[in-house]
Amino acid sequence: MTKNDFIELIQRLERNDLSEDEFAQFQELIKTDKAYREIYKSYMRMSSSLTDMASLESDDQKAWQQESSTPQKTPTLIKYSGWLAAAALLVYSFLLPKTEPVESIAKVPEIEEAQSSGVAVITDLVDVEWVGGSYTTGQALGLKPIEVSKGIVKIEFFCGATVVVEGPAKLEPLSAWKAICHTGKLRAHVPPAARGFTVNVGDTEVVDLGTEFAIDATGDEKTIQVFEGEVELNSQKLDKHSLTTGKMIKLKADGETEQINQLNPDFIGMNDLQSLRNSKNKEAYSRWLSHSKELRTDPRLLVYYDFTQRDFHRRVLENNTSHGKERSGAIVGADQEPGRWAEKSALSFKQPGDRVRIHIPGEYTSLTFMSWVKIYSLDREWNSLYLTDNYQIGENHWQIMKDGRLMFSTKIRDDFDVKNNLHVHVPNFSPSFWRPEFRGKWVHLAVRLDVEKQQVTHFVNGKTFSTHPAQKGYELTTTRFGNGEIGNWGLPNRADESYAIRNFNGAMDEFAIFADALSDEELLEIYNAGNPYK
Amino acid sequence: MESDDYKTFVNLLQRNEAALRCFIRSLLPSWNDVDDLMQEISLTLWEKFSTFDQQTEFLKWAYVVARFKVMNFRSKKGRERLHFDDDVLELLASEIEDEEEDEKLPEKALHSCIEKLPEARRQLLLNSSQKGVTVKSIAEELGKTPKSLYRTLDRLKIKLFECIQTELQKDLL
Repeated sequence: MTKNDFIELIQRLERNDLSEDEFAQFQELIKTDKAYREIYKSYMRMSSSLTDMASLESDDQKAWQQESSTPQKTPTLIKYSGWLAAAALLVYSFLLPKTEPVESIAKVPEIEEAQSSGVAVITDLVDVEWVGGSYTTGQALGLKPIEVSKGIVKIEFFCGATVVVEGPAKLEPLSAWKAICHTGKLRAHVPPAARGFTVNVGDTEVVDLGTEFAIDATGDEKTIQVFEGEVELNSQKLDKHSLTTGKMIKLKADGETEQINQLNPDFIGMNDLQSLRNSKNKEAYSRWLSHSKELRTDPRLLVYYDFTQRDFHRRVLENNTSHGKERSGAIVGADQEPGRWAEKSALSFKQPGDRVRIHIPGEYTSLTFMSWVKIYSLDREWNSLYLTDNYQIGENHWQIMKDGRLMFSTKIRDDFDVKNNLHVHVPNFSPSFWRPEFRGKWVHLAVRLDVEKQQVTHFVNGKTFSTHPAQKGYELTTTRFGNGEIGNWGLPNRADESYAIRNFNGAMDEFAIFADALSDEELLEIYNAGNPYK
Repeated sequence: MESDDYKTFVNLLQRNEAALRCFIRSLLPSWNDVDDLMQEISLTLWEKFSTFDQQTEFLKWAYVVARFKVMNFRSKKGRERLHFDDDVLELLASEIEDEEEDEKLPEKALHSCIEKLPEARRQLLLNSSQKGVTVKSIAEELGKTPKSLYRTLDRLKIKLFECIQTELQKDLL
């Protein structure tokens, strides 16, 4: 029996498709021949890893559905099963009941997606200083404590409860339904769907039965108060004590409790946070605007679209360099949508036809491209940021691959692989920069072609992401543009759809090309000035 | 405190889940969906966790529990599908139990070999390898017969397997 014949037996065994005789023969081989046994074990190892790898993402989704569709019925249930049922559901997909076979083809898993599993998500941060691990808006929280020495954190638990935490504070999510407030102040908003949401403070368990409560655990004396609705307190001392609207209870250090019919209004709620957020945004916008106005005068700019124009219905994307209208872009299809701040707009690229056409004459050497983009998804094999219509010598293509790698390539030589109908070139692929928390969030991307240093560098959020020295025989020299497109590819001359369709699925709210290699510091400064999450 | 124990347990289980799952798959090759059993095993592991000596290797301990569970499972459900005789099962189990840590999951090789597959093939393979996804449903989606899809997948997996074997050889050189 050849090795492949043997593997074929394994494959059929895996789908229970061997006859008794064949299986007897198979067992005999395994038993008597170590070589076959080794092949068998290695193959099963691959098979199992393959399942694990492929199921990463779909498990997260199932776990999430499971968790969110099973509100804990009674506080006692939470107490009793807290650990094994609630926490484990998310950590361990296999503790879930079996789900029905998925009928249609599921999405190709993004391996990194596993990181996005969790029990809650951070939805706003104001003036936060982290202790230990730091987080960004949009990032999911697992079962690890988070700690801040100052600032405000808004956390939305997957059960539907929203918690506004004021630092200094330490909060530890235990599941999508439960957290421990070690220190600090928090205000929890619990809609009906999230009833049963529980916060532990000291040895007291606070189970919300609807609406809004707050906890102050800044000192030795801790207080729990109800703005609206009702909470149930469980501890050895209190034993199912109920607290209703307008009531506060003090848990003293000596274990005594005291009920007070007055509330401390000094907790930041969702509305307060929102107005704080609004004024923060105003500040950030004007910071960016003054930086942007200065940038416009930079003589190295070839094009600069800052998206501050009021109207887009004339289908012109205004260029804000000394070259003026000549370099303005022609908008095709793409719609206006809110930009990084309410004060300005962005363009949204959704349909396969959406694009901005631009023309840049002349010849250059070093170049820097940069843009603020919001990616909804990477649908295509190649997702365009900027592509010249053709791909002649000196022309550049800047795109994102489906798997999240950044790609920048310059046509250096005119070799053509006729057999494979391919240009011979050296594309500069970064590793994948894509992280699940980037989806739908503003990200700053840049790429620098440095003729002097003979290297191409990709930047993500102001920092060097990957550097690619030019290869021998493919030295970087002259660069050109001519006609080109932002967010799409104009004139594909091949019928192969996966090759030709490269429309970007996302939004863009700043785009520039410089005829020079900007320094690392300059790119970091541009990022800092435009970062809407600061 | 119970919660500390639980965290330790979750951590250990998480780290060893893949190896454990692979162990079960190898002993029960015709059951490609071992989730239920895995669930049962992890619950038993948790129940018995207080008896586990944390100075020793978690995986070895888990293997012993899992082997016992697999035996049980087989005598309960053995009639439904093909299954190994006791001696073969014992032989395989003890060999896997004796493997050294780094022999267990040559995931790096798997990743780099998967990368080498053409995109469409890779996608097909990963889609059909997901838990709970049946080849039949994918075949329907693609307008193919399950038989021809199995043929494609089998060939792909042989290719992948050969690639992994070669990669692992390389590491030895």
